Amino acid sequence: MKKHPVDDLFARKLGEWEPKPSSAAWERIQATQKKKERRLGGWHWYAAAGVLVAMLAGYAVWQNQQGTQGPAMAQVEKRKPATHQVPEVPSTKIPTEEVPQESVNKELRRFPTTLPDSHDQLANVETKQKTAEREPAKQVLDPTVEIAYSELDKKATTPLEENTSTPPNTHPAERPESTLALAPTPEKPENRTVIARVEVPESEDEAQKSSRFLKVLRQLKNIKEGEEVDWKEMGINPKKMVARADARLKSEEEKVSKQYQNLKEKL
Amino acid sequence: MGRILPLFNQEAQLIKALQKADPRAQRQVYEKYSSRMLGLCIRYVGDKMTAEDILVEGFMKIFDKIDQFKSEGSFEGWIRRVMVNEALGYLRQRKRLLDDVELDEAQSIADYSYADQNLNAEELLQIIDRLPVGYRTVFNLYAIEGYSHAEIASALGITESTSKSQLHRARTMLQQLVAAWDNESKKKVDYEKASS
Repeated sequence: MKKHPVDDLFARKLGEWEPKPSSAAWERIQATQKKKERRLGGWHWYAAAGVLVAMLAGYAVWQNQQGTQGPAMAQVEKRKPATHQVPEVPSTKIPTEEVPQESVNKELRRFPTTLPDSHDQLANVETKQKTAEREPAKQVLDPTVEIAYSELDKKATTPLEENTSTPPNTHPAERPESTLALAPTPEKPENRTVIARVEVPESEDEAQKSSRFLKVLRQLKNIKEGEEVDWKEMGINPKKMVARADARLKSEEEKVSKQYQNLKEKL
Repeated sequence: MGRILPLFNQEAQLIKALQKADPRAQRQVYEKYSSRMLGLCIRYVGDKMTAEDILVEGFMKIFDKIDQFKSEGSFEGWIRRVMVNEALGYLRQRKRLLDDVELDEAQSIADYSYADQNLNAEELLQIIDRLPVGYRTVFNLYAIEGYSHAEIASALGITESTSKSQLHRARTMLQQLVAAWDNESKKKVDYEKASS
């Protein structure tokens, strides 16, 4: 079908017509494309940031636990004999209650009350003095217990004898333990780890390096996005490089032409 | 360093890169087609500013919906269709699509060769811009884009006969306008000859 002359005229002239759009048009397209990328990419970044925070938090907790775990274990071990002691002390009471001597009773009652105290106030210097006071008391205790035994012996009750026969064996055994438990306690504060964060200002060299690095990165981004590359910012002048190469080529060319001339003259 | 080297020589390569939202590919497509497509948009909407808005929207649609492009037809054809649809969407929004004007019978011009030689694209655009939007749109779609009346009817939501009548009226009006321009310019030439 033949085209109408008017159609033909307009189609030929306007179909090929290519006016240049303003640079703002591309910038607008680019801006919206980047926004979309950011919207999509933001999701990943938030996820990555979340994982990083979780890892840092985990590390911090782990570090803290490592710092406290050692002493905590030691404390538990030390307390074990103390818990053993508590039920044993009343067992010694049974015979002592029957003892008519009141002074012995008082000392015995003081003994269980002071023992847990000594565990609680281990770090205090006062406790040291207390333990010093207690030691003679314990020494006093031993003979009283022996007195109790002698009295019990007189009553001659066989089941009680069995009960009472154990305390003299356990008491001397326990005492060194308790003193041992007391001995390392002043070291406790030394075991505490103090985490000090010291902020060191970044050196200027590093800052310069990073800025140069950032410049190069920016230009790489330009290349990636199909934008123009600002060579000046990278500190490279491609024209100079080309000029240098050009000069070298020229000198080579001259050499060759001279050789050619020489050959010509010889012929 | 203003020139961007064509990184994607094959169209298939370019489309694949576009599907991955490669900014270099997008730039390359824009560089290649933006001018032609701006010309198309101006033909439909009349002024450059609005046409540029449509161009931007069109390219964003092209980049977003590249997956919808089936490699059956030509890529440029697809881009052109997207742009035409974008321009029609704008015109539809403005609801100026089908205003009518009374026309006198066109005086026919026997020879278009003079106009052909002397009219440039900008002048032709000025002429086409004087058409009512409905006529202009149908004329653009039929005469320049090569759409059939059936396609125009479905694109604009009109009947085929309306499309045909609009095209006829558009042609008539354009003939009048070209003839008027012809007479004026010939007169000008005669005057210049006489004065020299």
